[in-house]
Amino acid sequence: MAKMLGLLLCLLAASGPAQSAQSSEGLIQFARMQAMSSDDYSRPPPDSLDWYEVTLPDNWNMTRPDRGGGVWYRASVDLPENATQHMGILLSNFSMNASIWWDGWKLVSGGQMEEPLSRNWHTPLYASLDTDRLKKGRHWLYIYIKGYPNDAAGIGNVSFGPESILLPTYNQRFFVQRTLSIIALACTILLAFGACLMWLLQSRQNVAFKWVFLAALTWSVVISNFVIHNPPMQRFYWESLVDGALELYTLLMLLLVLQVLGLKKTLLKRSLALLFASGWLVILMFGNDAVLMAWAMPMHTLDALIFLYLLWLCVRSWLQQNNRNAVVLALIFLIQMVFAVHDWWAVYFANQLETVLIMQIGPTTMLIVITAWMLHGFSKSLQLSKTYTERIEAEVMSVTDRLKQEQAKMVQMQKQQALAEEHERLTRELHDGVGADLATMSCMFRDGTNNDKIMADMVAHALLDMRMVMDGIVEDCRDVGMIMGALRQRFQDRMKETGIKLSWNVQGLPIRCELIDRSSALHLMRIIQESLTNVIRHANADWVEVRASMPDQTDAMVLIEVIDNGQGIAPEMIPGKGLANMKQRAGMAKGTLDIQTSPQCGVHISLRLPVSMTD
Amino acid sequence: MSTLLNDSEADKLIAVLIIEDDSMMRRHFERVIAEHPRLTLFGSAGDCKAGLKLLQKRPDVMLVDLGLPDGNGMSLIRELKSVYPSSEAIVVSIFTEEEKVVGAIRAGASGYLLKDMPTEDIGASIIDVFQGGSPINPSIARYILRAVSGRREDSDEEKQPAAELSAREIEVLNLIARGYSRREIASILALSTHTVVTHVRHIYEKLEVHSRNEAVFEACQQGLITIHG
Repeated sequence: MAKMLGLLLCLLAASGPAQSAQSSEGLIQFARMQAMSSDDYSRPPPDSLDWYEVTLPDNWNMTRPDRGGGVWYRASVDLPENATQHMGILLSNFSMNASIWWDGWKLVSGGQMEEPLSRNWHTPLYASLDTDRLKKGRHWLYIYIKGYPNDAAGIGNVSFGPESILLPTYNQRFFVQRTLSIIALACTILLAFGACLMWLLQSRQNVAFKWVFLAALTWSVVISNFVIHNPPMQRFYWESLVDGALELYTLLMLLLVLQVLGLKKTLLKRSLALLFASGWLVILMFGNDAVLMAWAMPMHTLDALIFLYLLWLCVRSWLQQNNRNAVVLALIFLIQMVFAVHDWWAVYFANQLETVLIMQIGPTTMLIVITAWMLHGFSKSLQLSKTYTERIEAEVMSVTDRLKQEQAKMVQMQKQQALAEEHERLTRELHDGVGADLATMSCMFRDGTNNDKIMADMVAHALLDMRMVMDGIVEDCRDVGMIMGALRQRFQDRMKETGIKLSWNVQGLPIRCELIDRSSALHLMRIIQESLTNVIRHANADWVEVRASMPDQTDAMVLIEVIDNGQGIAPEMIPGKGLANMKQRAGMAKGTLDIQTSPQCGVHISLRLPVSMTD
Repeated sequence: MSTLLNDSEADKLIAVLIIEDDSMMRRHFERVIAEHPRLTLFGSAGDCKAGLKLLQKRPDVMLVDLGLPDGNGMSLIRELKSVYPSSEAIVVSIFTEEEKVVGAIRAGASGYLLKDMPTEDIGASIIDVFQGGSPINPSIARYILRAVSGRREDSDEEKQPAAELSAREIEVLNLIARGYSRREIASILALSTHTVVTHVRHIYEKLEVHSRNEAVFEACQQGLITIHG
């Protein structure tokens, strides 16, 4: 990059405007020539006509304002001796087309002389002379120039001298004016393609890339004016196209800068776009060459002003918001400005026919730098987003870990709580059941009660109670049928002893009809146990039926009934401790307990508990 | 096994071997058996070693506690059933030991005795088993149902591959688990009590066969035996 820049600076120095007379031996630079207007480019006008003197360079904008067409220039060259080396004639600058003649022979031509004229925008023209044509004596050099009015037509420096000196100079200028322009065109098209790709790849979100893409596209049209020798259309349309592209380029630059700086300026954007578009359309439809030229000048000035304004915007953004992007953008713009100022100076202050125009390379250079800068930003943002992604992933991992730990802690706590509840339940049941029996027995022993039958009964009761607790608590069984089965198993022997007939009817219970709560199993057993104990102790019955069913499949309630044919409960006995306990247990199991009794008609206990059907 | 015994066999006393490490319990059983008109005490032991010696002498029935100081009563059941297949093994258990009881049934036991059973029932239960009865209660039925259904995969019990029980056998088990007696089941299903008993017997046999197959499978896996075929 630095090398290229160095080369470019060297070229600029070499192609500087001050290319006046070189005092190398045998080199003639013509300061004056004779001129004659003529549209006949096929042969030089005769000597008899009235040739007039002109000073070189001859800039038609000044010497022939508002006039185009063709002009013959001539000068005589006196050779004191036969030449011993090849000589050459170099036209450093001319516009638009030229041909070089020597002693009435056409040596070289810049292309088509008819409309549309071949475009030789500042491209040098060189003619080589071998020694046969360089005999001792007087020779005549003729140069024919054809150009357009007010379009910087004319002829620049004309040199005659040894080929060894002139050819390198020609090559140098040719490189700057044409080769470099071709390279710039290729670069610009590539750039447009790249920026377009970047814009599309980022889902058209980075608008800056879009503006760069379009700017590069329009600028490639502008550069082709330096590259395309014979445009595929009439000169007016070609000039209109190039001028329109130039204005569009300015507008796109404005959009790019506003985008990068984050400014809106909608009115400015719209009015400029409207001005450019309407001016261009009006000229294209109604104008001609002269109007186009007249319109182009103020527009070029406006372009320059807009670029100055953009520069100012950048500087302001930097000063006010310390926007580093603005500084970079301003510096990048300065690159283009250097090229532009050079050409502006060349056109308005120096004689542009003595200089080269380099503006065609400026924007390309600038666009390359801008794209590189944006790509740099893009790759940085990619890296940043990668870093962010990694950071977020790490964060998510740590949060997940923490959540897992919390969850484990929660599970642990729930387990502990469940264990504590279970512990409390077990303690309460043992205390109320086996504990109470053992305490009673202990008292009876101490009191010296010596009734073996009662003692054996108490032990049997305590054992039974313990089995119930184990069935209800230790075993994880919620199936109502099976709980009832366990209950009967435990109660079987006691019922047998009492001689009360037990009618067991749990057939109406569907299989896999389960209590919704595990702890309800013991409540169910306790309630039925209490009911049966009451029947044994108080009912004076000889028959009891235990019935389990599911009257309504839809409401998911199981109905368990204990019906005896005893004496019933007298009204004053109803609020007993045992019954209250049963009701409380039914409530804890989220069920209801209903007791129906009347004297001599037995007791009918109905327990309803919520269940779920599992498959 | 047939319940139809001829007179001489019916008159013969049933020789019962007791293997129980709790001396109080052992004496209790010894007394009950000695006093029973149809039972005779074959011998008694307090540990595996002594029990193993005694069972070689062919008792008719062996009462065995599973938790012995020098080993598991289960091995004694297997030994007895392999040496004298016609002898019966009965597990002596306290309540809520269904898992162990079912394990013992799988090892070849034909029934169980609860330690706190009314004294007068002990003899009857032994005779019942000897004559081909298969005692069962809701807890054991529940346990077997759970084991064969394989539904309770979340339970803590070790998973035992289910034996293939017939629908009728499952039905019988379900009724037993719901507290119905053999006679009640017979009337609900319109069967004879004898058929219900046979169903239970089959269930036990299937559990045992299944268990034996498992043992063979495991032995194959461990390379202890090779099956040629």
